[in-house]
Amino acid sequence: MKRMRPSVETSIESDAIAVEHTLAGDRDAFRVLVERHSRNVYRLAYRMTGNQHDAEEVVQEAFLRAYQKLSQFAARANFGTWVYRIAANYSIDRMRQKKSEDSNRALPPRETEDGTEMDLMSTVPDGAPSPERLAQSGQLATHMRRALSQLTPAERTAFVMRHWGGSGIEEIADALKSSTSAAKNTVFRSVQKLRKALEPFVERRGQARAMGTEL
Amino acid sequence: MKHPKEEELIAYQDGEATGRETIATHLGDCPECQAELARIDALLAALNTIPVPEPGEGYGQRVWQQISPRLPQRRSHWWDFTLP
Repeated sequence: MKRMRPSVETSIESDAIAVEHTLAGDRDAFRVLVERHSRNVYRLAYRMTGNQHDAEEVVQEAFLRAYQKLSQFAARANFGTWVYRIAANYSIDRMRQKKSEDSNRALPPRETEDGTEMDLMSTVPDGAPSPERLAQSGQLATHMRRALSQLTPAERTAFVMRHWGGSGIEEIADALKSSTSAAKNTVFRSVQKLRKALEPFVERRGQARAMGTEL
Repeated sequence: MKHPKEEELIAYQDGEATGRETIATHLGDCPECQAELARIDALLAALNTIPVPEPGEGYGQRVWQQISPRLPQRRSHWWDFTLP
């Protein structure tokens, strides 16, 4: 009687075993890890970069880097968290590079006197749509995307990791290469800026909903 | 207690604030701060509604197809062969 070979997926039940097999030279074990975690990494990358194309590139690069650095991965750690952190690190580098390229191309350098990233909230164009029109949820989403894109890369990373990724402050500090108190402050600053940019529209929408007039 | 600063309320909402009990007690008695906290909650709830486009069926397989030709060969060590 012919014995059925278990598939790689069923034989590699845990990430730790998949990592062990990959390190022993089994590339198919790494495929299992990629297939298991790529959606989660994609969601992070999309929220970081704000577009699908960049998000997909971040996902690929994160797994390539994870494969290259796999021998440094601590066996007791969580592979999902680890690759997520690699993606966050790569996203922030990529956003900084893009921002720098954009400012070199079209605008004079945007730095404050102390050399830190400039607050781009002050560059919101005039002539924004009226609150009435923004009460429409589609426009609110557009406005939210715009507000997120105007955070600095560090602020956006901190916000996404904290509020959507549920990351701890130490993990965020690690991605930002900063102290934990600086990371906490970056999370706070991101929320503060988003409030400043969006609260009038969010409140207006809440009022419209309460009055039954939301569009 | 004085009204907590914005930073403290954001941290409280986030579950990170030190002195949570003091802030919670203050919130119980202060409609102004309750409204402020509700505004922070509403903002974060609204941000949660931004959709993330689905990457489609078989996304993980697609990622693997894209990266597998770029993966470097992993060198096996002699001790790999001694493992059971």
